[in-house]
Amino acid sequence: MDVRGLVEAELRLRKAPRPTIQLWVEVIEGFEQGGPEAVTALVQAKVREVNRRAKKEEAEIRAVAKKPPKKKSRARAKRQRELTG
Amino acid sequence: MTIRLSIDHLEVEGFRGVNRPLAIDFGRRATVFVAPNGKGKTSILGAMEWCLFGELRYQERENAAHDELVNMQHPEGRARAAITLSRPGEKYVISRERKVGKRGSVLKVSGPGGRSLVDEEARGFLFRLTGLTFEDFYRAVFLHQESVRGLLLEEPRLRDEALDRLFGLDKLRDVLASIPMRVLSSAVDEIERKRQKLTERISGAAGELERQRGKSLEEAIELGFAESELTLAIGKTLAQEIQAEVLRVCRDVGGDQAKLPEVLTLDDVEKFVRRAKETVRHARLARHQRIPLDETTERLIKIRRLRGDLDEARRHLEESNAAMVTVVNKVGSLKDLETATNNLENEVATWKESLGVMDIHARVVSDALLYFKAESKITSCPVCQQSISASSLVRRLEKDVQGTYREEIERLTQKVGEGNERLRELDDARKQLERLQAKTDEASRGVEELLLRTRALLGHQLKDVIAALEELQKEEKAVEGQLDGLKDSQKHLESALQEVEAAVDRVRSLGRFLKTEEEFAKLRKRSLQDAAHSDAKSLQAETDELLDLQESLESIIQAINAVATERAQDAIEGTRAEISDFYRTLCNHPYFDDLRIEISQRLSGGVHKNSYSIRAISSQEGKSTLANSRLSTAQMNCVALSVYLAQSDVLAHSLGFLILDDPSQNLDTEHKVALASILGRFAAEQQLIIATHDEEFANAVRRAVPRDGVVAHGLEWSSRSGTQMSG
Repeated sequence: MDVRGLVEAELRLRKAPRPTIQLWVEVIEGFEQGGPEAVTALVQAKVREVNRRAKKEEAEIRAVAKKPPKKKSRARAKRQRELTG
Repeated sequence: MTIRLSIDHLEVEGFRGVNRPLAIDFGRRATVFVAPNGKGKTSILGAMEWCLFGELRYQERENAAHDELVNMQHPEGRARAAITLSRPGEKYVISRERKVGKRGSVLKVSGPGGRSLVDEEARGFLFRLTGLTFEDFYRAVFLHQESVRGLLLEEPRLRDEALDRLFGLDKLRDVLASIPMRVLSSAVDEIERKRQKLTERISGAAGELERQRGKSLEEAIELGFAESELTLAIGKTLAQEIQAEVLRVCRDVGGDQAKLPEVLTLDDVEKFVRRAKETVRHARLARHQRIPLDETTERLIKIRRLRGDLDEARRHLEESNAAMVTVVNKVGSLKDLETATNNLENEVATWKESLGVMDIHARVVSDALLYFKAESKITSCPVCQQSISASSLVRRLEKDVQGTYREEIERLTQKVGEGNERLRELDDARKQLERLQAKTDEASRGVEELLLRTRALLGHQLKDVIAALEELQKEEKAVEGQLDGLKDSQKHLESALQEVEAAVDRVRSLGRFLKTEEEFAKLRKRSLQDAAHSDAKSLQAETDELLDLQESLESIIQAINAVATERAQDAIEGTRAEISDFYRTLCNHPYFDDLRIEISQRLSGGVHKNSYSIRAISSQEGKSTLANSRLSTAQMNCVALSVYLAQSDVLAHSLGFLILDDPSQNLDTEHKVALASILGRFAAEQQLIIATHDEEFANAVRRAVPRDGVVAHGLEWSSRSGTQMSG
């Protein structure tokens, strides 16, 4: 049995969930087609995708949870008064 | 079973120690290059390695151009190597060429049927043909003199990798190495950190929104809302009322009939308020154009100013005229003054003339007097010869001079003085009259000018100043009345606009409150503390996804490790007898007579990997120790050779030859013979290519390998031609 089958069998033996087995298939296919860089790129792409969604959600939250406007410092307020009389 | 490729022929030129073209044929079973150090053995083996992979494992790069590869004496500055590989029915010629100063090399592969490939295609084909990476080549085919030591003495990580490759776990190891667990850990940490920050932010924003909501509610209540009225429906109703009022006001001011946006959603409220405010501003501007308050006020000011100026001018004229009359009454008119002045000047002239005549007379008399006083005895007049008495004549003349002449001269002199004095007075009076006349003329001109302005302002002819003043007063009263009317009208419109503004402010306040409520509701949905909502946890799904990914990859890594351990265990178990046999044959240690390779797991780069320790065992006493801690360098060489040779055919690849570069280093005669006997066994199945400076070892190999399949090449070297075959 080749490496792919061996690891898949081991994962099944360990009762790994279906997504994990699916991920292994993706990893080994990526490796066979594009070498180690492809595996790294695959994982990084997944992380990037999650990060992208996280960034979007973060932006939505930031839009809802706005920061209160900064209070003018006393010195700045004084300068403003001096300028405007 | 796949038949492996054997090496038939090698051509080298301009590569490292080789300068002139060198052609080498290989023996069917073994080829031994025997030559002292520095004659080019390693260059020949290196040419094979470079030809297949384009680089040298133990060649330090001096610079990017890597010029150490090309022989400096080569006439064309070019390195070239070509290997002919074959198996029944197939023949491949792999050639590589590189010019000095160039970065890359050109690879060509010619295969059966005249198929020829270049560079990337050739590289891919070569990988598929040999089934070997550059690293694997060193572990399975080329036992370099450095590699023998590296297998045991390098740092654990490299040793573990080397042994992994020997056990055929290279693919698993590469897959393991390629999984970026650190990237994932960092991503999980990062997203957790973001979650934490967002939680804090949501918490802070919730407080702020609560405060804003309270403020908005307070403001709305101040503007007359009950809390229960703060709904969008009320907002819609108010907006409709405002729309009606705005239309009415716009009609009143004669501006555009503004259509305000309809309020359907909360977002429309802000738009409505903005537009309504804008409409009110435009209505105010239109009102200014429609109600000419400023122009009327300006006209009133003009009338008042003109009336004041005209009155003042009239008064000045009257005063000037009165003064004129007074002076004329006193000194007469200018004409009278002129006549009087002329008359007086004539009289004064007459008086002056008489005075001159009198003066001449007086001088003549004085001269005659002096003459007759001097000539007292004269009896006749020297002029008319008439008889005279000088003494009586002197007395009479003295009487005239002292009496008549003097009195007359004094009288005339006094009259001239008085006349001159009078003339000055007349002149002063004339000047005064002229001044008064000028003043009166000026006042008169001022009045005329003001009358003209008044005519222009009122728009009709005026009889005189008094009439003009009366007209102006009437006009002033009329404009005042007009202004009061305009002010009333403006006040009325302003009041309507203010009412609209107040209503708009109420809608804005309502909108603000509802907006705050909406934002607060959105925030509540995002709040981590509120688990009632499905999307309540910020970034939770993404965090879970990353954690799942991490967990899955960890499971995969564990499975790979389990497989790798099992495979390594199998490989060790499968070659245990051979390793022990080779070790016993090669090393012949008096105490540690066996070897054992133990496997454990070691964390490397965030991933657990196989870690190996090689232990020397005493079978008799059942004791063991780490091999590198007790065995000598020669004995460790034997250990490395035992492991390497036992595992050399574990990797599945297509090259049917084994290259050994100086394998007998540090070995004594007994060990050399033992190594040669083991290699003799290998020669039955694989082609051996051995480079050695050791004649004793070469002879041992010749004896150990069947004679018909061994080719031995001697090498010699000169600076001009480089390495050449000797004999």
